Amino acid sequence: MKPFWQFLIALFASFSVAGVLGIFLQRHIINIFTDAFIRRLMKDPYPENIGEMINVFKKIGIQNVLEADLRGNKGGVLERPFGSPVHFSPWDQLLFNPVYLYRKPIVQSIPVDLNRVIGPNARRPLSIELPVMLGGMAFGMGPSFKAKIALAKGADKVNTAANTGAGPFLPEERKHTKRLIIQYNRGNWGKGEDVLRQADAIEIQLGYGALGSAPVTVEPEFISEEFREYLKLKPGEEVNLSATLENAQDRKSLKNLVEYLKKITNGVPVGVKIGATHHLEKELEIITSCEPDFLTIDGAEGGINFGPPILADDIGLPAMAALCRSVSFLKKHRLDKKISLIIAGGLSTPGQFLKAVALGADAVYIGTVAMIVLAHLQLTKVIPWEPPTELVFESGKHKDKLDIEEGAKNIANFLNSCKEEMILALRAMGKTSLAELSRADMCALTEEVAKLTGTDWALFPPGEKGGA
Amino acid sequence: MILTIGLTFLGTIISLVMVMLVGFLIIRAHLNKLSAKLLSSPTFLELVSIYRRFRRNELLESMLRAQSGKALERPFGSTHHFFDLNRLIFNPVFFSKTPLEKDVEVKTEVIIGPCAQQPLKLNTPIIIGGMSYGNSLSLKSMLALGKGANAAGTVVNSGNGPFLDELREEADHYAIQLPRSFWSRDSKTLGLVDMIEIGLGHSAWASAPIHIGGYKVVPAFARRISTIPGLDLLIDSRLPGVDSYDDLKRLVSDLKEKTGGVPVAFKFGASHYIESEIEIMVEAGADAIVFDGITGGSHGSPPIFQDNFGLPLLPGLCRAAHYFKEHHLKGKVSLVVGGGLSTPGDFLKCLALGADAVMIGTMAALTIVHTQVTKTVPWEPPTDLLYFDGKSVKKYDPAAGGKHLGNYLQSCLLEMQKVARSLGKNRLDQIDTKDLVTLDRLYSKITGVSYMGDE
Repeated sequence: MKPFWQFLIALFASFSVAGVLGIFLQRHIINIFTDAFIRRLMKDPYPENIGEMINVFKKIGIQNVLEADLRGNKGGVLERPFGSPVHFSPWDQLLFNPVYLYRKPIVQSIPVDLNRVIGPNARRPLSIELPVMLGGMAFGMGPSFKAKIALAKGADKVNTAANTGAGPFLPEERKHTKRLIIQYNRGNWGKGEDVLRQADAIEIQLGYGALGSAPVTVEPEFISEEFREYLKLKPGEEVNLSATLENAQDRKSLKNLVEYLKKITNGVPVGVKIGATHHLEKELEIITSCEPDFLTIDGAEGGINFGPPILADDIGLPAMAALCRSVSFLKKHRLDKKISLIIAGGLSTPGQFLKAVALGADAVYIGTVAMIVLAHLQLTKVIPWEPPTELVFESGKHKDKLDIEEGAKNIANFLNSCKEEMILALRAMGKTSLAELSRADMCALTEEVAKLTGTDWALFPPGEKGGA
Repeated sequence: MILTIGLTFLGTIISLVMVMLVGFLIIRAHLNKLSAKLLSSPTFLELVSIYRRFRRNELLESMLRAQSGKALERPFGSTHHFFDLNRLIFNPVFFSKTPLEKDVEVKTEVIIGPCAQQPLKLNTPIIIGGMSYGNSLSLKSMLALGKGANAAGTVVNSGNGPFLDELREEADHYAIQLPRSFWSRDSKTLGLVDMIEIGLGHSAWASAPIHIGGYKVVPAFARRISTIPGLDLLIDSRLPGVDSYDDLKRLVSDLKEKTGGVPVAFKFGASHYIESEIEIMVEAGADAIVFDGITGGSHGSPPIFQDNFGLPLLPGLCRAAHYFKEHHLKGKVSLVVGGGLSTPGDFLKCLALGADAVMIGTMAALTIVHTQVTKTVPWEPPTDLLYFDGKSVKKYDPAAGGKHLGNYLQSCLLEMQKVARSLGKNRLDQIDTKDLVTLDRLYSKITGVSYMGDE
């Protein structure tokens, strides 16, 4: 036999022996490792036992542990993207009431629409074809240029509105959507009459759900060159959103501002956006006295590009409570037909959108979920080495990789899917339009939510005990 | 020669061990580095934060919406847990009443529609809920359900699907649903069934119109509902030709006549208007009321219904039972409930709370797969064996499936009988709310069962 063959036979034999041994011993080997691990877990005293992590995580929470690590690393204010992960509003505890024979459900051949009008009393009201709009997300501070264009295009495909956020005005964004809400921000850009005249609605922005009315500063290191050019900043200059609007410090000046904006835009809806707060009624009293066409209330769950966790988690009022209180306020002062109400803050499913509308909102804003949907499959371009924000945010390293057309398509698909489900839901409730929908079409699973929302408590027949 | 072989052998073994050792060390080093990187990386933290910001599968479903642009169809029903039957416990007896010995028979029979001309007599109070051929299940799966139902002496249901001659031959008790569409309406079919359910809807779809795409209507399916293959089907939100309560009454008496007097039931999803709905149904001449709670399953339906519509089973059942008691319907009209039930404990609790029978759907579908799951996993989900358009339908054995469902029902029945003995009751239908205790006051309020802290 040639040495070559001998070599091959020996190789084969040794691999087989090793393989067979491995197969026979696998249980034994795994057993040894498992036993060793369990023995250590059960015998090691606490300070050196890995099991103590369970205690730490359970006591403080995984996210808090990780955030504490990051704080320890840097020492500055922590900037967490997307807002609070805490679920304040119990949307799950509300259920819609379908009808079978009690009332007639709507058959397929009868059309059902979700049309809405924002600012019905304005000279040029804003009409949208579903009660979901893209909330304010500022180019530069949050989304990248490409992301903004994709959002605008996506919204336009389903005939709803996009919002500039507190960022600079982008002529390209204007070009790609028929319905653009321009924010009148607390900074000093994008307020020229030439810009404001291009709006289909103007939102005077006084704060966020996730930041309250705290001033916002963007450090120069986070300002991209493109963003700096739009803001006409010098290198090294920082971006500031002050706590209050310079020309709306009190009731009178806010009123003047609202009037001024209505005048120069030839009557588009002018609204005011605040973060929800327990002082809601007092704030609304002042704001509504200035006769805006719509109100935007951003609940504590509201998302934000980047913000300190303390503001996201510990400030404001949950969206559901804020919505119910705003609706009661408007009803009490007979303003509900005059002033439209937009609610925002952590809403992400068609069920939640429709519940907000049933409770009295005219429309809702989405933010976080829109950014996630925008990335969609394009996520694979950055995952797993970078988070999805790198793809859609201006500060992202891979923002150039975002495909605008595909992003726009995904936004439109998401909104269309939500629209179809909401239409099916209205059919099952026997309603042909959103105007017919009210809180009487829902019941609550807990007494607390029933009281908060003024719906029936599901444990008892309509109108009996527990109901409002 | 032996030396060469020996040396090579030894060399290979040694090198294998070395490779393993080095590999182990490399993996260990990388693991440490990886976990250190993970814990300090904003990427990971951001993903944690995003993930926590959404509830359950909202994130995934948003992506699916972004992909399709259509109303989603989520299989199996809601992932919420609304009111847990585990908060109710049975009260065993020792001396206050005598527990029953093994040789005392515990009766499990139930009669559906006792006032009908031909009531449906079943040996077990667990019925197989409506699951449809064509739109969801294959013929083989339907036959397996029939065989399983036979083994336990219960009834199988056509769901929204067509009447199947093969299943009629197989099943002792065959119920069909009258869909909100055009099929299952001829006198010949109606004359062959043991019970008929007027299908007003179910929790996973409420009363919304269901659209079945033409691509699903293949010749085998189209033939059974006498339509042209490839044509879209519509199960509308209302019964065709029923525009008033008088029409409804006429429909019920017409069905009673055509079927020769089998029980006529109404099937719907529990809702906040449950009392009013039941009133209308009883008025129209219903022999049985069948509904499922919000957790009811489906082959696929929009999440907006599964998570946000109707009533959970527990308050639904208790409100219906209360209505039955107040209007003296017990013993005249049967009450059948379902929606996410899966254990004999759940079944018995529903019976104690006032149901005459319970129905299972998802659980029945899972048991007829049982060990046959190995034929598809890990490359396909087990449902691939059952679904009409499943790729593995050929590999499915309905006889085995039927046997497993039969076993499951038998096992549940035996356990329920054991509990009955410990409660000192020799009939399942004699178990009532007094045999239960609740662990919290809210449940006591819903069910009327006494709270564990009270005497």
